[in-house]
Amino acid sequence: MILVFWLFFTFLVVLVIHFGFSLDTGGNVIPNLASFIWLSTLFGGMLRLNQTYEPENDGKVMDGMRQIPNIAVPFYLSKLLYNLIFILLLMSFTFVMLVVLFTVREPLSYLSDAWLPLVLGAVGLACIGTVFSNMVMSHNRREIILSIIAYPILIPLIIGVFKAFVYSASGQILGLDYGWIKILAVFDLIFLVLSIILFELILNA
Amino acid sequence: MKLLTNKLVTLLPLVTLVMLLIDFYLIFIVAPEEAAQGLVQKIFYFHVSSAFAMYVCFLLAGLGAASYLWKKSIFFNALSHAGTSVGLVFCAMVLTSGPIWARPIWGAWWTWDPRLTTTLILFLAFFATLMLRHFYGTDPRGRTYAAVMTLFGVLDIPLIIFAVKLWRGIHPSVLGKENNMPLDMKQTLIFTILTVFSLMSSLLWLKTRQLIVQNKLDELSANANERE
Repeated sequence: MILVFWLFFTFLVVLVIHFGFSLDTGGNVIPNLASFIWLSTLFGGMLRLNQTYEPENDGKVMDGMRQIPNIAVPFYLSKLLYNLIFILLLMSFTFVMLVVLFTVREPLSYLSDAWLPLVLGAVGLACIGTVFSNMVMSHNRREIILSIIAYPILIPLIIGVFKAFVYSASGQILGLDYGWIKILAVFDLIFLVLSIILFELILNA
Repeated sequence: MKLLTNKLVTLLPLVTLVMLLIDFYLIFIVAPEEAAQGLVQKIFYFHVSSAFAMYVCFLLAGLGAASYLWKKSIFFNALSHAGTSVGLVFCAMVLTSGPIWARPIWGAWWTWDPRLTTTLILFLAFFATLMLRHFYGTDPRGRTYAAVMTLFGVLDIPLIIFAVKLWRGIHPSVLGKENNMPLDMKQTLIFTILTVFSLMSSLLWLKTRQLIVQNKLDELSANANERE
């Protein structure tokens, strides 16, 4: 059965990478920077999300948390905020690294075109990751389980971030597709609201 | 009541079998062959019906998941689990019959058309919930977690439908407003939908019952182990 999990995971990785690099950008690398940033965030962020409840995993911390009335929502929001800050830091680091590696001439101008879908994607990733990592925190195979359960739910959001950029025939970012921006915002809102509603049930499972 | 349900369990698969035989007759003998596509178009009847059955199963899985989180009833967990499993069977039918149909028509087994892609996403999301159940085995936490994941999967459906409209593709809209399907084809399609829904109901019924019995056996086994 573990072979099925690994094959499934590999398939998910292929899918995610496919969506990132199937855009028509005229073979130009620089416009793909947003895709690079988003892809590295998806994989790097997942490693961070796996560690979300690492401090609570020792001893009986979670049992203690369950005794505190009305703790679920603030506990979830604090973890979400921490994860979101980490993911945004990861994105910033990747951007700086890529600016140097690909000699991007006007990085701030590029960033002004690209930041909105990336931030909306980061919010969705953090919302789902923070909930799902709680569901797998006590499992000894949590690293693989989190990726397997989170990516399929996140794929529409992943596609949305890639689709939100409008490219010219030469591969330059012309602007944003606000239809997709709206979808991303709705995804984030639904993920956040549903996570807040369900987190208490997960915490007390 | 119990006698009636037992009779239904035996009767429904038999009715489905008879309906399937009639349906094959309607599809291959009665319904006319489509002029442009030829014989391969016959896949359409099962392809479309399976897609409807898939959505119904996934929605039932979502309903079962929400009810389980609210009531913590074993029946709702079994319904959600069965809805996911049977929905995946129909989703797999859609994903395999589609490429067989597409190869001679579009010249490719697969295209990254929004409808194809989103059906694949649904398959992956619900397959992942089954994997989560497998990881947790008989641990009751697995039921809650799977229910949560199922709800996230179900909520993807309306967003996906909206995204498909925005993301233009080549997949035809079968049940659009301007539908010029001949009457024979239309009647065959309606009968196939009824047949596939009968098959879906049989599978859902049997799978739900099997899961409830499995759960009782697991509980008995756990109690016996505790006594030892």
